[in-house]
Amino acid sequence: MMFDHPVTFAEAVAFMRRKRIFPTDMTTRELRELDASLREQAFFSAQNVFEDVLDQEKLVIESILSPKQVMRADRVAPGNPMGWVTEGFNPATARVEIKRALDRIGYQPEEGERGTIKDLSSDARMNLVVETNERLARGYGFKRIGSTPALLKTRPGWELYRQEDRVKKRDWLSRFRIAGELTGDPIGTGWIITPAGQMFALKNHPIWDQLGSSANFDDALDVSYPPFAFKSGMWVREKTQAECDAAGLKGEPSAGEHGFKTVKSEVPA
Amino acid sequence: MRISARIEPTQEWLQRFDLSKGLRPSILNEVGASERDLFVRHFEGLPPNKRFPSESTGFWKRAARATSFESAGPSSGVAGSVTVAVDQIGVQQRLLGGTITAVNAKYLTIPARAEAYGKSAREFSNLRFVAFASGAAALVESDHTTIAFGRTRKDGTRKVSGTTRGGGVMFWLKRSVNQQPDRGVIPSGEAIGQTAAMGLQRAFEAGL
Repeated sequence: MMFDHPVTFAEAVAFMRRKRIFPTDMTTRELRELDASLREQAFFSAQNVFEDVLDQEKLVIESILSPKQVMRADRVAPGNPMGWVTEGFNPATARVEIKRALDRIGYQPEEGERGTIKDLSSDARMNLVVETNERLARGYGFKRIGSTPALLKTRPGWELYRQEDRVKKRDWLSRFRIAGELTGDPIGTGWIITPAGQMFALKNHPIWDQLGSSANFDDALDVSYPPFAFKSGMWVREKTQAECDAAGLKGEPSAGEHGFKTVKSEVPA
Repeated sequence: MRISARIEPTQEWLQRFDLSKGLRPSILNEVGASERDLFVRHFEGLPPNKRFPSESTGFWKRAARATSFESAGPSSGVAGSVTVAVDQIGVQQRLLGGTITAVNAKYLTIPARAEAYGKSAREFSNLRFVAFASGAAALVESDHTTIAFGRTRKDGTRKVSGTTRGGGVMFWLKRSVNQQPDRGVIPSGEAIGQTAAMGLQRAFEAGL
């Protein structure tokens, strides 16, 4: 093993770079009515009409996804003889930069909205924008990389798991069950919940579309990859064929790359 | 900050798996995915910062999500290689250590209180500079009064109470800090080697 010049998470970076700035006064609910493919190609934030601010938000997110690697003489150390340093934004400096962009345009929140999620300059709103977009890009990249025919063969499954703790945890076990039932496939066929409560499904099973569909869950992001919903704290890990077999997961992964369409359907009454 | 670890098959692997013609991309990708998972699980298992454990910023969870891999096919004398990358500021510094000196500012800001952890000093509008006789310098919270309004009483009045606070050190200011290297932030070389071997084995069993 040796340390070498780094590579970037190319798929995640490309996902963000492709996006075009889309200032809008639409609410989250109204934005959901837009076509999913349009939303995937646009960088927006509910009721944010300020192009310069959106531009700055996109820039800091790109920097978080793809920090710059530089060599600096002042950072040469026994363990780092080349003086490699990574430069870019972290969540705190990203908030400072977005706040500066808002200050430049003289932004003031509406009366009674200061400090709330509707206040573009609140920590909660800036964190939401940065975290959600960063996670969506990483989730997209994770899915793309794992969708090659070879990796579908050796690691055909995903396990949904809680990666980050939350004070108020949403019931993802129930969501997973609802999403699985909505696909029409009985449990065990393409998706399964193990006796230990682990949530497994084949990577290309439509359960992932259902899990991320706002037609099923109000907070969903209309994507078939993590984080699936706003501030979910959920992520996926790949499961090998042997692990899928051990969990009792049946079903054949289809050949080729998994599609990226989002299926919308209603939760049965 | 990003780090990468390149894994190249040893002569023993080359003989064991008959890789004389090099490794196909599909095999390398399985090895890469195995290594990525090893790093992800390792990062997810690392504890939050020791000084403010209840104020976790999710640093290592973010590092886990920022972990990826790339593979490169055969080149001169090498059957193939896999690079694991962690695209996150701070990971390499923790791994390699070294001295950080303030470059674009006069001082580095070191959080002194839980409220300051994970935040930039620029996010606070109520800090003032204080130089102590000991030579230490800090950003201290200015005195301020917080006014709280109680519930409206039956007669229409409300209880109003005020709390004055301030003067506490929010950030210590330092010209430079030295961080010790911590090899434990990434998996051991032995684990990386074993994982690569298991990935190769899985790829061959799958007929890749």
